[in-house]
Amino acid sequence: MTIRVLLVDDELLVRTGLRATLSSEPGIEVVGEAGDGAEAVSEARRLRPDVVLMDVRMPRVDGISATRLVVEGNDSDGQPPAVVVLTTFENDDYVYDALLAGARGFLLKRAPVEDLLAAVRMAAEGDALLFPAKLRDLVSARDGRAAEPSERPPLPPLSEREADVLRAMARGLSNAEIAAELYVGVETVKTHVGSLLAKLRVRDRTQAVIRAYESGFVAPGL
Amino acid sequence: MLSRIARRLLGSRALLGLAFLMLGGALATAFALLTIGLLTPLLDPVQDVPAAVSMVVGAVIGVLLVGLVGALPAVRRIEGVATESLLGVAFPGGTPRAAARWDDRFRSVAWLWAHLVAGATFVFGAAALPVFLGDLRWWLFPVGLVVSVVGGAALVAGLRLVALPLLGASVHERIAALERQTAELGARNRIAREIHDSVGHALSLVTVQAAAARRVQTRDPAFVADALAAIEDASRQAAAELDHVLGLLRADEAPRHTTPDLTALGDLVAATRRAGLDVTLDDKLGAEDVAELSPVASRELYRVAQEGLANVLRHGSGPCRIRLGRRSAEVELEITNEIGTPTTRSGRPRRRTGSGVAGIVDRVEAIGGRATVGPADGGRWQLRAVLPWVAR
Repeated sequence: MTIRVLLVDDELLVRTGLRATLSSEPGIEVVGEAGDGAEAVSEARRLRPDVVLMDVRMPRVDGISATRLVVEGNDSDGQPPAVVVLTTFENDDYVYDALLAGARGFLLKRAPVEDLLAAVRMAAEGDALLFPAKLRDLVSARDGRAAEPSERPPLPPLSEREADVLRAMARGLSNAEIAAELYVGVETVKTHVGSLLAKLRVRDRTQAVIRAYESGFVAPGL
Repeated sequence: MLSRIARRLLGSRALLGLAFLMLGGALATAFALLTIGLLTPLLDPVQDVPAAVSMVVGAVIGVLLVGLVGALPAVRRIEGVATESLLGVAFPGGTPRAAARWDDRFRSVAWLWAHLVAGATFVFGAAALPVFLGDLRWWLFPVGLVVSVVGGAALVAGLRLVALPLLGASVHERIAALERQTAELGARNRIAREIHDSVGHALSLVTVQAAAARRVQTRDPAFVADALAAIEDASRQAAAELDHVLGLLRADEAPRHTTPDLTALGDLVAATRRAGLDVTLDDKLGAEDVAELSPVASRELYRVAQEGLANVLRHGSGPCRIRLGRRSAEVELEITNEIGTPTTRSGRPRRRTGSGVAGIVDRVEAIGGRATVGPADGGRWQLRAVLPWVAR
């Protein structure tokens, strides 16, 4: 199955470069491009891509609002696309906001091509974190500036299994990998993930892991 | 034990302290002579003036003289330097500056009095005491010397105690220092943002294009040629912007630590020219005007010019013109350039007018002016800032 990608960047040359790179890869097809956030939202609705590569700073509607709109989409549309945020700098505060807005992960524009392709594939598969180490660094970099540990919002009580699953999610494991590690079925893992998302009141895995880091449940420093 | 006491009393630090006292004594003598000099003609024509009256008049003249001299702004600086080097007092806020406010002047006067009184006490005491004691008993002469030295050390210790309260940084100076720090930090952040926006952006583009070109090199030579041209363009532009930003950094390192103002506009224009932009400066303000304009307005206009030029460098093309002029009660800065026909090749849209230019509008409005940015007649792009003329 071909992964359908929508490219969103206000810089034409970034789009042509990404398009050339992605199109040269079997199994990935660039179905459209958008030059700002507003266009991104309408194109995502029209083209129904699997993955949206989204620049953050754009005129009119920025990548954060666009991410929120694309991910929330219209429920009748079925599965919304996975958004991967493209950024120029690693410690960009916008990245964090974009993740909270529902982006699946983030990627530096200067990332090696292999990372770019891996990000697109993993985002399309949808059940593992993108670059868990990067996410951890991002949270811990923020942590230094954020509240004291005592002021962090605690997690709601979790069952032992849910706690195991959350820790495994933070390490970037997919549902299948978690199932293998905990000697349970994939369906069981999916159930745990579902109840975790509900308990933590988050939309997706990325946000669940961010919550886990922020609450100190998983130490970002480790 | 004894050697430690001797060092405390006769070590180089102690001797410098005594030198400071001698300086105070010399100044006190000068003031005394001046007072007597002024007092004599005043009282001479009048005969039979009671001693009490001449004492009072003399005291008033003396107080006035010391007050007048002590209130001179530079005296604070001079006394500060002497206090640091001779008394060895370390001022946390750096060597005291010339007094800028009346409360600093009053404190300087108080300090001058302390210096004079301590100095006179030491000089006349040390000169008179051993001789006086020696007249009573010959062996009391060296005792008197020791007492003088010990007394001098005590006076120096007392002066050191009051040096910080009387000469140290005032609240206002501390606030001003903080403001300077904040301004420097702000400038540094602006430069960081500038590099972030321009060079970081260009390097990302270069990476993406180069990666793509490498992947399609055999299949799509035309794309590779386009990519190389785009990389060349982006790199060249980034290098020019870096040059510009570094030029600003160097300009910021100028001996004045504060934010540059309109007096530095010429330097800014020169730096921008070095970065490859054709700029003409049409400065209708004379040097007196610039000197008269309030520092806030002057700095803000410089900043407008700085951001405006950076913007033209980044997005525009063709010659750029800066006009600076005064119109009745307003001062006006205008930057105009040809709208960059975005070369289809680099297709670089004029975005990221972002924080810089939007910030200009906010800041100009915050100090009571108005600013507009956008296309103007004749296919030009114009940034215009108008501030009320406020004299410093």
